Amino acid sequence: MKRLAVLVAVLLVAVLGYLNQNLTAIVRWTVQRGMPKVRVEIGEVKIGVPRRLVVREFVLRDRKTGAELLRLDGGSIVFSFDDLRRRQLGEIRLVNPRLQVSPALLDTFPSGNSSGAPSWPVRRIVCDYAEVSMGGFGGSSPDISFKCSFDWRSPGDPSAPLDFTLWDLRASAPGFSSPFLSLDIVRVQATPAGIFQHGVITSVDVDGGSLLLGAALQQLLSGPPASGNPPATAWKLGRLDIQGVRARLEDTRETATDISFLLNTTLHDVSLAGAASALGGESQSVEIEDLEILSPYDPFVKVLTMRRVSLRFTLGGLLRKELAEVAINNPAIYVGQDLFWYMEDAQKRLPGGTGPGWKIGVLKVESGHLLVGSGGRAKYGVPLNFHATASDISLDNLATLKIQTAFQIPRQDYAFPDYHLAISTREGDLQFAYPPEKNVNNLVGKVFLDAIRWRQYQSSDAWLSATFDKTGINGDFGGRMYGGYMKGGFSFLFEEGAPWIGWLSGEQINLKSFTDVIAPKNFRMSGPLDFKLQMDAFGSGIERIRGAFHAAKPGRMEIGKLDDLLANLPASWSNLKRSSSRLALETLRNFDYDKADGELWFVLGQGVLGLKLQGPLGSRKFDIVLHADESGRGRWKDKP
Amino acid sequence: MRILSTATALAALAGCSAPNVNLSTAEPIKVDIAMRLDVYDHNKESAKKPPSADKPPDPEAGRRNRMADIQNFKNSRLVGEGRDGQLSIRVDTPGDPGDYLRKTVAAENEDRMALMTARTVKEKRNLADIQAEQAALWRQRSFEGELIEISNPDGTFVWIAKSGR
Repeated sequence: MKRLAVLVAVLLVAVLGYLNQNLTAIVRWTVQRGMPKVRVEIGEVKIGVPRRLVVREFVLRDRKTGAELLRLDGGSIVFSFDDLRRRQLGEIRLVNPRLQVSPALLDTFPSGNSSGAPSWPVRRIVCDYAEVSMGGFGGSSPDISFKCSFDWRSPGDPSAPLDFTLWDLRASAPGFSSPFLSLDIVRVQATPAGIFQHGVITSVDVDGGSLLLGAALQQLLSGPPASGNPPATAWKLGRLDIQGVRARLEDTRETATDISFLLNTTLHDVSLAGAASALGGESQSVEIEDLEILSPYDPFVKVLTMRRVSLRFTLGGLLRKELAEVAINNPAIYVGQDLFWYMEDAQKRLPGGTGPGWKIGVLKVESGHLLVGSGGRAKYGVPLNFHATASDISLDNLATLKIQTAFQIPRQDYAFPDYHLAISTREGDLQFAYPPEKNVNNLVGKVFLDAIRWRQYQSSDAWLSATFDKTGINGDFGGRMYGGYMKGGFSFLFEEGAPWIGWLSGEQINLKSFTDVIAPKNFRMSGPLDFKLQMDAFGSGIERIRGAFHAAKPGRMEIGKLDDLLANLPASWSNLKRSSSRLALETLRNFDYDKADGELWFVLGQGVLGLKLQGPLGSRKFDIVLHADESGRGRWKDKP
Repeated sequence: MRILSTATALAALAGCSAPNVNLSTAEPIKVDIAMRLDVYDHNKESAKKPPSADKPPDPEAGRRNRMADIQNFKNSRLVGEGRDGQLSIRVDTPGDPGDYLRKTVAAENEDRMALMTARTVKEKRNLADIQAEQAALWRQRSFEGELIEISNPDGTFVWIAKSGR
């Protein structure tokens, strides 16, 4: 009996020695038997002290492809004889596991209880640092990677809390190098019963991160359903709390403004799919202040500034390129060559044929005003404060953009001292349509003015119509003037030096009123006058004027200035000289005419004004030659 | 005797009333007056400061000084704005006036070319483009009735009097 006991002891020692010597192979064989679809690689398994089974370099590979599915730098299982007696394990500690989750990995695990292997409960599973990568599910499943830690106590208890802390979570769409989602910290609370029996996660708390709303997310949402992973609808979230996740609208254009906003929301009792839907449908708003859009060709030239822009949208809407509402406050449109360059540039940058473009549900513009650019630099205000409301705007093609709105014009006085010009606007609305009927790259409008004053000349009940395009501003105007009607036009060219041309004509102008303004008490004509003037200018300096005038009806010319001469003829003159001078001056002073014609041209302060009068008592012909200097050079200075 | 007859005649005249002389006319007297009034502006800076001989000629100043002459030529349709941004003489004028016209237009074109060449350097563009651009600007700024050279749809060029400003 004693020999038998010694024999058994020796045998046991031999077996234990054999097991200890071949523990790695035994464990590999055991695991391999449990997972026949993978190739198991184990660096070393040994029994440590105290009561610890230590594993080093544990790797699972796909048997067909050799791809690494799971790598564990190390791990240990703590056991006690009491635990073994109770057929349970004490603690499993995983050291730096790196898990590559793929459809192949899911296939390697036996499903359900088909293995029939005896289950050995574990008292605790703990991991301080793990790296998990999920990918290869195709379709609409993103590739996800994160780091995590957990301390799962009593995993055998279905109601024991199972808390994970994830950090540095990144999700990217297949084919995209940059992640569309980065989360700083995610805390997940669940229970084994919730996960494995009811598909419920107690809570998910997200703190910090970024979400890029763009092509990657759009691809995932529009792609085919994922394969190999459980349907998202099967999982439910008791609570989803998101704080401090900055969402940014993807726009790769250099000139695009970076639009971002913070997501802060809490959802309760939603499915994973429902959470995405609820999150996507929740109204968000962003305010952007002091937004400036610059010329594509000159970074010092503004084309549009906006004091404040409020955007209201949903995440789902953004992915569909839809903005629920855009409210723009205090915009200034700088009408000039650069504005049209910008519009052309924006038109070129619009995607063509790759799907629908952006849509705006409601567009509101408040307190906007126009600034007219001259030569791309100088800006002059235009008497237009405007507001606008438009709905259902499609921005996919500016050529098809249609806006019906109104500019509101206040009653206000404006002065342009450089141009010796003052105007008073009449309150009213200016209906505005984009595009206008004929020219799509054009803004058209008509403003009514109570009064215009240029130098000492005044007009009333006037109107002004202007069109803008990339070459300049073209305008027409008209109004009552000294009993008649005047009309004219101008073209401001967007060229260096701000050149402009203008023309003005008048019909039935009351000459008496007009000459009283030009030369009060010194020169007066009566009768109606028709005239036409043309002028060239650079900026505020008029370079050339040419014109002609004609009085078809009889009138009278009086040169009042001669009264002084008549009253002050030198007393030392002889009676004959005084009488003959008086006769000549009075002949010149008053003249009744049937016809009056004239023409003028002036260039930089030089020129000629010619006046021809024809009446019953003869004719009068005056040539007033204005010289800039005393030089006699120039054929036009020659005396007849 | 001679003295007596003279005295008799004076006595006879003294005894008679003066004869009526009718100075009015059947038609009112028509007077045609033609006057020319030359007005000089003595306050012009340009008149006070003659161009310095040691300074290089300023094309802009040269153009301003002859602008009135050019306008006079344009009014008479002696010159027009060409497609190359230069003035072109359209009517061959003989004698001194012709000499003055040719000299003035040559100086104007020289200054215009200097300005356009300076732009090619500043804007790093070729001269032909600048000339075409300037020609377009000159055409646009021309007054109604002034001569301009425009292109036909078939690529040829024709001189016309500008209309419809």
